[in-house]
Amino acid sequence: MAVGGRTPADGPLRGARSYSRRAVASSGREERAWVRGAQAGSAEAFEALFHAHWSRAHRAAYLVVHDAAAAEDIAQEAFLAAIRNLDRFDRRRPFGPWLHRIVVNRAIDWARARSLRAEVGDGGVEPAADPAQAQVSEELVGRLASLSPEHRAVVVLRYLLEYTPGEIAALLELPRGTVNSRLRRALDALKELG
Amino acid sequence: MKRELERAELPGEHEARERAWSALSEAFARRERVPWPRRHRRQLVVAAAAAAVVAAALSPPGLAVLGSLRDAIGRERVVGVRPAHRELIRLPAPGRLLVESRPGTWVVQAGGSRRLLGPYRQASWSPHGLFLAAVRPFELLAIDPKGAVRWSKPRKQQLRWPRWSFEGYRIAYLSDATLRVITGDGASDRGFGNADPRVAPAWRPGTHEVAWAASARVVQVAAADARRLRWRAATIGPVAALSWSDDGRLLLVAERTRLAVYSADGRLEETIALPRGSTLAAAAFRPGTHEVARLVRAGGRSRIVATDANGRSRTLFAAAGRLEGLTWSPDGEWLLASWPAADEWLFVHDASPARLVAVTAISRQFDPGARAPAFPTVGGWCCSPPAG
Repeated sequence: MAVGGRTPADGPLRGARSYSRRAVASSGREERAWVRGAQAGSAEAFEALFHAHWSRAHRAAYLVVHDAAAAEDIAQEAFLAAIRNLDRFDRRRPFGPWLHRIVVNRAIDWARARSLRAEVGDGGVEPAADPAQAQVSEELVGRLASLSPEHRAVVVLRYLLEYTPGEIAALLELPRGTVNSRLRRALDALKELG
Repeated sequence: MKRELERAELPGEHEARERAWSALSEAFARRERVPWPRRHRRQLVVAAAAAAVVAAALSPPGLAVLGSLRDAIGRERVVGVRPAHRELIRLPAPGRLLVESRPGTWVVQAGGSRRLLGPYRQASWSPHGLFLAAVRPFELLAIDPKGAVRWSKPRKQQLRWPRWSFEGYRIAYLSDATLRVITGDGASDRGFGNADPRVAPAWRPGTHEVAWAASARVVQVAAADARRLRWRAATIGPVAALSWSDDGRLLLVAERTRLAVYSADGRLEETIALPRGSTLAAAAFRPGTHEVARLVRAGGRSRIVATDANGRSRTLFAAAGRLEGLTWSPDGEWLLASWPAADEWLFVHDASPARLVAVTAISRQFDPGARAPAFPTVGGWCCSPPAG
């Protein structure tokens, strides 16, 4: 439940001023204008932020948790946190990394908690997206699912969201060496499984 | 690898986006802007502190400036000792109060200090007071007593009455007119059928059985994990409130003109019919007992009456006016009732003779700064924090 020891109210990471250009969905100036507009109450500006970031946030969550309903919830909650903290948001910081940090940390927490939730029986639970999940046949995604949530998260941050290892270290509040070793191990495991 | 990750098919991706946009645009439209002073609290505190130091050092009027700055930045006022009950200086019994006022949900510590947690509604304590469950119009939240949100669930429906099960693993709540049960970590969320949205569900202590008003005149009890209905009962009048005794053996069903007590397996054990012309405003089991306190109104007067397990009744307090709500202190010694017309809380000590502690100016204390402060409601009086 805790989001990597930080809360959304903390806002964007102070120590991570510069992000890979590719990790940021839209141009910085455009995004700052959307954030400013959303802070002023513009629904259009918020909609622009949503459309710029939803897909990647949702996909990142799914690739970590491998559960469609949970991924939707996690991405929604991240946006909800953004709404809640919009007024306190520092416009000088990029929006995407802040959102991705919430998404990935929550996804890791969810995936860890799933393995511990013995008291929740599966019988009778709403069918969520189980039938559709069968459609996910991509080999890589299947192999990714066999990794631990922490390893999945660094793969997703590196190869889907295209953060550098240094940026991932800042997002997850981990030493850079740990990020590198997780990446290495994850790639080795993916190769072996392939 | 990026291409493969980007091409991976997400089940129901389009529908998820539609649902998310629907919920989030609603949440955005309804968001409550953080007032300018709160957004710039840090700068204000620094400026205010600097100004106060200078002013206080220069002249005696500087002390007055210090006070006004303190008010301006919204810090808690220093509570004076006299007059004793103009401010809520302390609670007469251990525990913490949960209060809902126009700005949102507050926690009042035994020592009287108050903290506004945020714009949350219908909050309730977790069993040991470590967390609170609360709602915003389209959001269910678990928050800690300092106001930090542990998790939240956006929903498209109007949410009401979140209530925590005895060990904190489940939360029952109403979503529009449906009872739902979600796990305490916010993960699994299941529907349990129709519910009267005016009545809060009630968990049977020590179990995962939940009682709720399925309609205005039907009470149901279901085993939440097995999703099995245990029993249902039809009432004479509309159900106003449900509460279990601490040992989980009795369920109290408050109707408008009578109290009905059911056993845990659905047998009607006892009814207390009110005199003609009286209405029941509130009722609650005394903690740890089968004794029931009730607040009855008749002819412009209100009476608090306690009935013990042998059926003997005694009046604890009576007043000309309209009292509201009835909340026991965790030690079962004091009852808290509200008197909105007098802007007072009444703490009634169930002793012989009964003692009364009245605290006035309640509205102002929980709606500070408002021109016409609204009277708050009490959401619960919880256990003391666990040791350690």
